[in-house]
Amino acid sequence: MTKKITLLSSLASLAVLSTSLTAAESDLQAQIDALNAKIEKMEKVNSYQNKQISKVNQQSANDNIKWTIDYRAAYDNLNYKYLDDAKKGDGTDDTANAGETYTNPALLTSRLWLGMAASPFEGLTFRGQLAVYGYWGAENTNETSDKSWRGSSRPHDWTVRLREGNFVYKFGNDWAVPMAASVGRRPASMGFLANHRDGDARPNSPLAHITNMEVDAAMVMFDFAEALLPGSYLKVVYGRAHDPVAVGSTTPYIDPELADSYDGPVDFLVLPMSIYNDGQSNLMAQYAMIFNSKGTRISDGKIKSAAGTTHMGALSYQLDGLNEDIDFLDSSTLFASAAATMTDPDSGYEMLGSTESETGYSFWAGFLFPDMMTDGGRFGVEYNWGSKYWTPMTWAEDTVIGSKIATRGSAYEGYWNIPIEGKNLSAQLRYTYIDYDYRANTTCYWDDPADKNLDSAQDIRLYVRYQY
Amino acid sequence: MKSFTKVAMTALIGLGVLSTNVYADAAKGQKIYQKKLKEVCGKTGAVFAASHTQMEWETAKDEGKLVEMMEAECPAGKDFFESKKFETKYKSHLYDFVHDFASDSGNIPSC
Repeated sequence: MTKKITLLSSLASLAVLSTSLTAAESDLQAQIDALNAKIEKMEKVNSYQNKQISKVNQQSANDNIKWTIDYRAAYDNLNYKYLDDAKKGDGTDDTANAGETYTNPALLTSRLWLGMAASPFEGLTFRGQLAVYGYWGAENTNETSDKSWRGSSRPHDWTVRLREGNFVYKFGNDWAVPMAASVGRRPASMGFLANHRDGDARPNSPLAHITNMEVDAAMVMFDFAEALLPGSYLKVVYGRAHDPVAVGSTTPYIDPELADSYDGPVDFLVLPMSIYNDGQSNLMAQYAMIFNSKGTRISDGKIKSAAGTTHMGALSYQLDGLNEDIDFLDSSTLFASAAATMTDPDSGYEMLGSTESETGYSFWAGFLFPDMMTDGGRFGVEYNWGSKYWTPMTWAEDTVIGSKIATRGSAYEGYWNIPIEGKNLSAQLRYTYIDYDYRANTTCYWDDPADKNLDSAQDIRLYVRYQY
Repeated sequence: MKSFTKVAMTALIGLGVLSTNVYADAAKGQKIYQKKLKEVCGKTGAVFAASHTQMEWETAKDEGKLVEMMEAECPAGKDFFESKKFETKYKSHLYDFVHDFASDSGNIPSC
């Protein structure tokens, strides 16, 4: 009897326990279901929020102007030494400057570029840039010689200028040769190979060896990367470098002197092309033709006349990363470039002091390597050489003592590009020495290179630069 | 003036020596893509980077799934993404590049 009671009691306990367990399981399941539902809801919310964040990103950047800042404060120590037998541009003795040395121990400048970009939809972009480049203590007056193709690329006053303003429309992405068209103002400076000395990772498209200036032009680009060689393309650029409009006259924007071609419009055709670019080896070429280049009219000695045609060509090669297995060499860059310019004066005119067609040649080489002290800092050494008639389009500043790329003679340069805080804050220390064999290249084809003026020029530069 | 030049140069050299911040470089990442992956993947770096949003690239990096995500976009680059060199030498630069040009970055690749 007692055994029966015990058994019944145990069975009852088990039944109670089983009921409790079932209830606990059911409760647990309910909690799991509730949690799952919550997670599902949270995932939906999260997904919605992600989409919203992307939309906000697009709205704040893609659908509006995206601004960038590039501010640079520079110190330059300049020095010019004139030849003992220096000549003026007209070939007469330069009695005032011959044998003299001039120094500016501290030229202080500030340069601000405000960049803007917008892309309302894929394939259509706008780019613009406002520039101020002044020297400390500058007077805010415009000089008549302040040409648009160098106005914001040399230290001047504190006027805000348009350095870039163009749209690019890409089309035919499914074609064998996709294309792009663009019209507007382009900062055709800091081009291929010049970007290294200025600490810029990406060059603009023109070859700096023959083009360093701001231009107003229209462009069509043919992308041959898929059809021909990796990275290959051709750009056809047509623009205007000078217009002799007679502003303020009774016939505004019409030049009454145009008929006798004393001061005709100067147009140019430029064909920058990338022949091969696999990310390590980069071979680029460029041909340029300038119509109505300036020179001298022999009959009355008038300079700045529309005197003839100029042809230019360059072939530039860059090897980025000399050996992948050695870090030092992998971070080193070697480049070399050869270029030529040819002036072809019309009958009755002189260019570069000659009635004949004259050809100038130039060579440019450089080597950049890690400084081994900073992360990303690099030392660079460059050498330029130019012959008697070498005259490229390098009117924007490459050094404040004058274009070292356009040197007729030899130019030596060493620099140290230092990243202080990544790409946002950097500095540079640079020394440039120019040894002239012929006249300093400062005018558009009306000076005679044989009328030598400077013996040498040098520039010590130190700058700090903020980019964001 | 000579002393000013000396002071400026000393300050600059000091800045350079003290500047030891390690940073990834988007431009370097772009070059790495062009050199190592463009032909292999059969698409431009801009298309590769724009295959995801900034948050998606960021999340993949934080969760250690960057290689997985890049492989999904470029299966032919498997060997490269899984190499030791990628992990130690290229990953941070390539990440910086794809993040800079992600679909919602607002950055506009130049022509």
